Amino acid sequence: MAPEAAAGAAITETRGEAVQHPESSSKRGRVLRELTRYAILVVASAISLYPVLWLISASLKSQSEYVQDPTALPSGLSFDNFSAVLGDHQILGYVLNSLIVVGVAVPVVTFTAVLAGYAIARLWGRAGMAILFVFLFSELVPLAIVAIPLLLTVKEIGLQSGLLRVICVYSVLMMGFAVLLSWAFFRSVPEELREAARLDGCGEFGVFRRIMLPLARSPITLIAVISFIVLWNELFLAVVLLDNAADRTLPVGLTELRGRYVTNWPKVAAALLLSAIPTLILYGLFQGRIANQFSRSTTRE
Amino acid sequence: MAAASQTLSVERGGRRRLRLPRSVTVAKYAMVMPALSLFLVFYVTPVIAGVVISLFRWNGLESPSYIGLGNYERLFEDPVFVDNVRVTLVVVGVSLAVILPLALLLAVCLSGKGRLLPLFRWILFVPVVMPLAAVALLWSEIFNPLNGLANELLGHLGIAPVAWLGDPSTAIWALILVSIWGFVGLHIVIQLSALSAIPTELKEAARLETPSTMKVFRHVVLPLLRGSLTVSAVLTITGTFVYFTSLSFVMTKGGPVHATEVLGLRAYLEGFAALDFGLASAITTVTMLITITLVGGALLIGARTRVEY
Repeated sequence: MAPEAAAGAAITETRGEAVQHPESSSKRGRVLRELTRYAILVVASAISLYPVLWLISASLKSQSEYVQDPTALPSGLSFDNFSAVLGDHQILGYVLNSLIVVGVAVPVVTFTAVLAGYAIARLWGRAGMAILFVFLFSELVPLAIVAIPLLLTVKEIGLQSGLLRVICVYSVLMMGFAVLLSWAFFRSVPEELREAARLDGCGEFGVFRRIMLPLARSPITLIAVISFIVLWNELFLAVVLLDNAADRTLPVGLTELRGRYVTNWPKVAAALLLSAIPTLILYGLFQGRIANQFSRSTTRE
Repeated sequence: MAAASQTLSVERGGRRRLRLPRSVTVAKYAMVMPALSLFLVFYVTPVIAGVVISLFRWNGLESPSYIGLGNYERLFEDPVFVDNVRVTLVVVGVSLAVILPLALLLAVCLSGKGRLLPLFRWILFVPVVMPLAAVALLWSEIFNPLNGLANELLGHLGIAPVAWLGDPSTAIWALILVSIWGFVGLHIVIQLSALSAIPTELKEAARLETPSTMKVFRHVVLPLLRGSLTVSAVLTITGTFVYFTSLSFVMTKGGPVHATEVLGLRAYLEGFAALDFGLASAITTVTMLITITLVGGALLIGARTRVEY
């Protein structure tokens, strides 16, 4: 390690000396490159963000103000639309349903996946890879593709409650991803740790609970956060699985809004924004770690 | 004292060792079971059920009757189904062709150090965390033919208004645009993290050989992105199957005249509107085969592409 690092340093050093001349001559090239880079980023960011900003601007307008000029900035800060949405009992019902579904599914998937990932990585030996591949198959054929057979299965099992159906299915929806993440983490935990704890008289469950679980705080948080973001936003499976209007989750409810608020777009905009707040906050809090996670799970492959 | 504890632990170790195998066996099954049983019931069963039901005529009311490949025969004689397959493949193909290079370009722009770069990284990921329902409704309004943003913009450029979602020739492109808008951020993050995993010494060593940044990128950086590009390709394929189904469900319901009716939506319509569970399951099974073929192809190409220097 040390000699390599030294060699690397040497390379940078020689480069620093040898390339000095050509580099100063290409200074204009470099400025040009930086300019292009930022120009591209500014354009891409504008395209990314403009629809969202426009949504915010629309949500602060009255319907008549919006119709007059959809693109103009709002004349003042009026939160009437937001208070109307928050006072809408039906929407609050959707929010409650979403909270129940996601609030149960996220802990279920997180706990079962962490447990399974640990066992696959540490207790199953080579057979563990076979189990892992079973889980990973769900990444190749997404659950949404088999939505209709899924509905028939769920009915056949006798799950009458729409919310219970969605809870079960949502737990499985994130399972492949969560098991993979947990497996990758526990594989990197030294095997000696487990052996030492075993020798100290811990049973397998004791090892998991006292040693592994506290160590796994970071993958646990990640699984929970990413699952929350995905499940809070999930729409299609909920549409298929819920046949009772009272069970609608927030995303399903939102798609009905256009009809209910007949063309009152500012009000719809306010509801859409409110629905996005939880995931935007979570993303803001965990941004760095979500990005890091992708580097680990994808570069491994 | 030290010696005593040592003998104790040895003794314990010896006693434990005898019981270790059984305890491990119990634990390894018990720990995998919760996740695996949920997975078997709610993922594996529907996948198999889909294949089985596709061999039956079943409307949910009468008991199912076995008709062999009858549903598949009906499908392949149906010109609309052929269109569904075509639309699906166009969506996947265009998404791959746009998302991969675009994500790579933006990731290269975002890589390295710069004070503003974290801000740009944050902004470009925002569409990914927006709820899909919100994205779909938001863009429906943008494509509103009367006073939507899209036509407003065209008006400034002096172009006549377009019906967007109401016109079969534009609807599919409008939806592809939305799905790229909502999706590309994820792929930027994937490429970006792969880029940042490349040691700088490698790039600098290569730069000693050639002054051309393009050559360094092409011969050193690009081959190292093979893994992450494959992951992106796989996620684009499976993602568009899911994402696009929801988008067309909210924005166009598959219309106008089946122009945005991808396979997932067709299966939904057959299962829900027509209560033809056999046909819906046959569509599901065909979709599965297409997905597996495409993903398999992507993985194969990813594995075949050799690292060339």
